[in-house]
Amino acid sequence: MNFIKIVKFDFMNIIRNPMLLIVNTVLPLIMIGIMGFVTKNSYTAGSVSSYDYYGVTMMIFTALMIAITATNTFMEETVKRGNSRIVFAPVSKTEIYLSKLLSTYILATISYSIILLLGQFVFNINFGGKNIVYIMLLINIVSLFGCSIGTMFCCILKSEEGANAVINIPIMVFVFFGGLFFPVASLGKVVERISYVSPVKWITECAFKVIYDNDFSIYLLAVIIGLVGSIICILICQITFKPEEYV
Amino acid sequence: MNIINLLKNNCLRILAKKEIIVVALVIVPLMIGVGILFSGKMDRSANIALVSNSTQIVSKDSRIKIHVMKEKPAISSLLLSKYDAIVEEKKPGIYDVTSIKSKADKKSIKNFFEVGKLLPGDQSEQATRGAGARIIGFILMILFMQGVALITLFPEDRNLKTFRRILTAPVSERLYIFAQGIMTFLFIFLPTYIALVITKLCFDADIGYGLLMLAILIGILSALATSLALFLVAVIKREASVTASGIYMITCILAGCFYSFTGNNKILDLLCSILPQKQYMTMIQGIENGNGILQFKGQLIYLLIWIVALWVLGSSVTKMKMKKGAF
Repeated sequence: MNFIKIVKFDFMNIIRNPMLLIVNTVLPLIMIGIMGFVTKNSYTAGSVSSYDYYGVTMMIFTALMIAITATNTFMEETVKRGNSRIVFAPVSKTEIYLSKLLSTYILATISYSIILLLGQFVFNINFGGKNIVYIMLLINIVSLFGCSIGTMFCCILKSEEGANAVINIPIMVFVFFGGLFFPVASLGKVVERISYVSPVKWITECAFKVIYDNDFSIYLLAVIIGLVGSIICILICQITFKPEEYV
Repeated sequence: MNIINLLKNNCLRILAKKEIIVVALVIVPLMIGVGILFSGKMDRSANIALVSNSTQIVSKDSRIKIHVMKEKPAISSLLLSKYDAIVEEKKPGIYDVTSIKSKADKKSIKNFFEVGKLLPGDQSEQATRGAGARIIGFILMILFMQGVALITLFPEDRNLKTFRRILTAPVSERLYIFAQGIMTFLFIFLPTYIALVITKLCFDADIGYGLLMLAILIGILSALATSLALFLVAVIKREASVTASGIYMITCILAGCFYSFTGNNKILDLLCSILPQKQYMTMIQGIENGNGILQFKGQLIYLLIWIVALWVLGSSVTKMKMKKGAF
């Protein structure tokens, strides 16, 4: 019961923070719009428009960037005080960090699913037509991974600003090797091979295969990679999170 | 004298923030260096998947690499840029091109297979942008974000009420902000410049500018990043870094830091040209193409106005908030 109460409270805290709300609702649409517009002239030859391409990659990008919302939910100066009171309550430490992770994840699930539906049915972006449910699940896995990364860095670095300063680096590396802003294949064989280490690369490849070829051959693998990545992050949280250090 | 004390104090405090220091002094320079080396290796030739029964087809042009295969590859391989186009040989001499890139590229590839010659290439600004402008365009956003990360002592002082105590000492708020600004500037400028110089001299990478010019250009950029950070942190009470990331990402894309583009839309072009990044990109592109920096007096003055205005605004907002007793 305690756990659900904390999750609910954390969730309300995110909703009441206008900046976090904007970042997770309007910003993805703006990013898709801008990237699509900027590269409009480079995608005219076939049936794939720049909005179709950047719709998928920018959604994956936003889902990763949820990590910053997670650090905020966990360690924002005003929330921290409340947290240190929970530390004294009969609540296990797992429940403390999992509640932050879960509340952020719930927000991501609701918000990104709505954005995908809006994108497909209102803005005519190709998110897979009848396969959109699979793309939703894929984006969902990425956001779980993003939440886990955010929570993990909070547990390791013990401060929001520290976590935010460092978190950009792995995300940028994932984004670079995932080919979200520009394709990695043009950087040569070596880089392309390295890029398979990035879970984002698998997710992107899988999403495009599902949408354009109706090909689910690596779907399960991509989901497993995302889940395993999240579990590893959560395990590191369990090891490094020491509530007594917050008091 | 006070300024030296402030600087010393700030320096000692920021050095204690290990994660920020490691990012600023190790990871960012490393990323810049690796980025430059990678972008130098960028393979600009086009990969074409040729669906044909004949086995030996050799490209006559080094810009085109042909991969012959029996079966048509998946469309997703185009989206993942494994291939730039899929060409199917319908009858000898007649080819069907599938591509998701621009119409001009598609036509050029069709021409290459049917006539044997590529059409004159892309003359857009993106294609003519030099290596130096491309590299600085990419690190621009990183430096902007670093600005907000490095100015962290300012919001921290406010939150912990240290700011109020500092100002009870004979230190004006202008002096305090000056000290913060100088330190942020140095922590952005020095690692970036050193990283660029090392990659240029040791790895012989093509950066497109002389060492002095590079110092001037990165200096302007660092000053702009510092002013922007000061302003944003002064105006935004909470979540300055999240807000700044959003603003920087959108404006950098619109300013054409990553992809240069023309929207063929006067209002949008005008809006974009207000952005300081846009003027900065215009200037560095021109300089790389062999013009002197003084030919861009307009851009230089414009950037200077931005730097000074943001600084003054940030400073006066702080002063105003202070008078209201916000800190």
